[in-house]
Amino acid sequence: MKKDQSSSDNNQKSNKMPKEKKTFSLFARISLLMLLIILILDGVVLMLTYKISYENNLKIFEDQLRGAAKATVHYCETYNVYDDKTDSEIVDPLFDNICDLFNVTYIYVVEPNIDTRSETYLEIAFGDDASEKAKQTRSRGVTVSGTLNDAEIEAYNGNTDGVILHEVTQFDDALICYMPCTRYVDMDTGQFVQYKKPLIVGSEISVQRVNARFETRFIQIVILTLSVTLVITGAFAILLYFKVTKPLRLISDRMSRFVTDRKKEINKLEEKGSSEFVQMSRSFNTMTDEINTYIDDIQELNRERHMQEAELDIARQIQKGLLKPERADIATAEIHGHMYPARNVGGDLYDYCQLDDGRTFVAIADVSGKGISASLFMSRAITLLHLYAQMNYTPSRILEEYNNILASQNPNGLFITTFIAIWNPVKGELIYSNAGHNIPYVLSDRLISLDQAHGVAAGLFEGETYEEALIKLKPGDTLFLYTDGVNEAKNAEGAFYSTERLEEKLSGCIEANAPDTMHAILSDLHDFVREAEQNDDITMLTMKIKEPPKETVLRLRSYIEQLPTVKQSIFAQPLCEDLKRTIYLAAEEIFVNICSYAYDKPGDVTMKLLCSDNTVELIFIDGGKPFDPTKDVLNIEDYDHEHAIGGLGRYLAFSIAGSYHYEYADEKNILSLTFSREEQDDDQKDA
Amino acid sequence: MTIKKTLDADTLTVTVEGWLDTMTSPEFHREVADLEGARNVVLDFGKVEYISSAGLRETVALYRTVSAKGGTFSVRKVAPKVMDVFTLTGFDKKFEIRAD
Repeated sequence: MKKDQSSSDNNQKSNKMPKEKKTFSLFARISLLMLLIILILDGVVLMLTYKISYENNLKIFEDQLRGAAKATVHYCETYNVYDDKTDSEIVDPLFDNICDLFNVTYIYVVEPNIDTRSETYLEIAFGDDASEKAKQTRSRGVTVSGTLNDAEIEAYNGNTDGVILHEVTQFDDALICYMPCTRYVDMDTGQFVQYKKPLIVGSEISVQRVNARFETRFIQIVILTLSVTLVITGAFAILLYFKVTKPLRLISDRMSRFVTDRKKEINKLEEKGSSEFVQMSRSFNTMTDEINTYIDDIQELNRERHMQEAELDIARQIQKGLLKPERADIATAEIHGHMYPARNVGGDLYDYCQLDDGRTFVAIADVSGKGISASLFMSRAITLLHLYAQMNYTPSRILEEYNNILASQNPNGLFITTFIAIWNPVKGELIYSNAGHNIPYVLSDRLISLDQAHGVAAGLFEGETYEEALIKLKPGDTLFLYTDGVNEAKNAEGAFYSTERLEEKLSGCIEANAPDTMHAILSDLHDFVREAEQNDDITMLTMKIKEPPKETVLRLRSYIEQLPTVKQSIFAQPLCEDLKRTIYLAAEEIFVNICSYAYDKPGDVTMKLLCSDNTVELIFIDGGKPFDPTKDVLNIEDYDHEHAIGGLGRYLAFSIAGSYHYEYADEKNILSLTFSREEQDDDQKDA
Repeated sequence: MTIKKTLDADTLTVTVEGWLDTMTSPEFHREVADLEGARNVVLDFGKVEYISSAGLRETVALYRTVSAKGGTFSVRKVAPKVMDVFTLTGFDKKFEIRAD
């Protein structure tokens, strides 16, 4: 269980890896976005706060300045000097007090000269933060010219509210408040006097100090705001993680492991609560149930389909097994067969076999319809053809018997077009009969259609009769049989291959003296059809007539059990039936003699058959004891039929042979018997 | 090769079909070893396609068995090619061999 889990985790990781490389998770993106938005809001709020509180702060300082200036003016206007003290003695500490009380940097009284724009300090007091330079430069009695500004003039002109000025002086970046005053200590007498022209009281504060105090407070606000922001974002992220991301991950995990976990009972998601995720879980559970059912159905269907395919495959193999091999090289002809079904199984067949007497049977057939029903019908048909071919029936007789059997049991009314031919190499004749099949061709000096003896397709009507036709073939000629899957093969444009193209190609094969007609047609057909779907079985059979073999050599051992091999070899010769029997009779007698007497233990025996136009020579070679069988041949007149049995075989063999000859050479017995082919002429008519 | 025997009174008819050669004559020998008490034997060769010296020897051995007991022996319905072998070997002069 644990192992499973970890392996599926690994799978998941490897599945997710590429995605994570590309982008951040939704959770991270939302959290970052949230943080960004809050920070921007913070910025805006802080900027506003800064602006408002800075202005407020300035106002507070202005009020302080005004207060200081007002207090000073008030003091100057109303103060009466005590007897024993000079004004200066009183004024100095008083001004210092005001500086301390209102927390300003300077308080001074100047006597302005409007014309020269100069001013004379009557009194100045310094606060704690006054610069040393200012203390040295500004002192009582000092006249500074050209520094009288508009604000001072406004105050001089009677603005008793106090004129505020932000000025960068040589000493300081200062905020100043000017106020007019008409009573002050006379410099000479030291007594308060009423001045004719107003004096100006100035209170000054260092802006640096203002700012420093403000900034300290503002930084505290910023820190507080950012802390609150972080706390809010963190809380939001945690909320987001537990309420959204985690349920989403759970659902996505279940989804990704759905197939792996399908067999386990753990793929249900919880359905408690009422959030959107619970709805999603519910939908997911419903979906998994439906998918499970669906998958089960599909698996069942797949199993059935596989079984059907496997069975069709077996059917196709059985069908292939019913067909003869695609190539056969027999003594008298070279045969190529080809059957390619449009579906797994087809309704076409080709068949051929070499008959005992050296003749060759070939057939091609096409069942109406396709698929299983056609293939079953085809298997019946091919079995019947095998059977009747071996019974030495003529083509028309085979078709008649075959038609009767097929028609007698054919509930579905299927039919089969069939062409049958038997090649007799001795006579050089092909006898054929056609039950409704495509007209085959012979590739000789020109292209010949085998359009005779054409009857109705087999399998429908019992008792049909079929005709036969005969054509002479010579070595090198090729018989070409095909089904309509060839001429009706369609290409992607829907055009048929057509008999015209087939005939043209076959004629081309004659001109080019093509060694393999089947291959030529197949490749041309393929060029034509290309990728188009095959909609009918394609079946062909070619039989190329060979030059009759001049010499057959058979290597044997001296066992009687090898007689059937001798028989087969002789009867496969393109000779007439009676001659083959005569030759075999001689061969049997000689071979039995060799087996019986030549060797003490079984040894090698070679049999040769040399065919010429007029004669057949049978030669036996053995390495046994030297023995001339042609000597002391039995005289039949003296033969004791009642008792003696020896020598009869030899006598028989030499009697039926035209001539015979024995020699012992190279430590071998060589016996040859010659048979005339001419003598058999009369018999050939019977065959 | 197939062999069928029918007994009618004291005559056993042996019907042979196929090839009577070196390979099949031992079977023929076994089949005719028991004559089922018959005195006379008729060999029906109507369906014999081929005979070699081995077949001839079995035929003559049967002939000898039957004639030794005083019975009659004949070979019937012999095809021309088979008849040639009997004629060539002179057996046609020893016992009754007929084409019908």
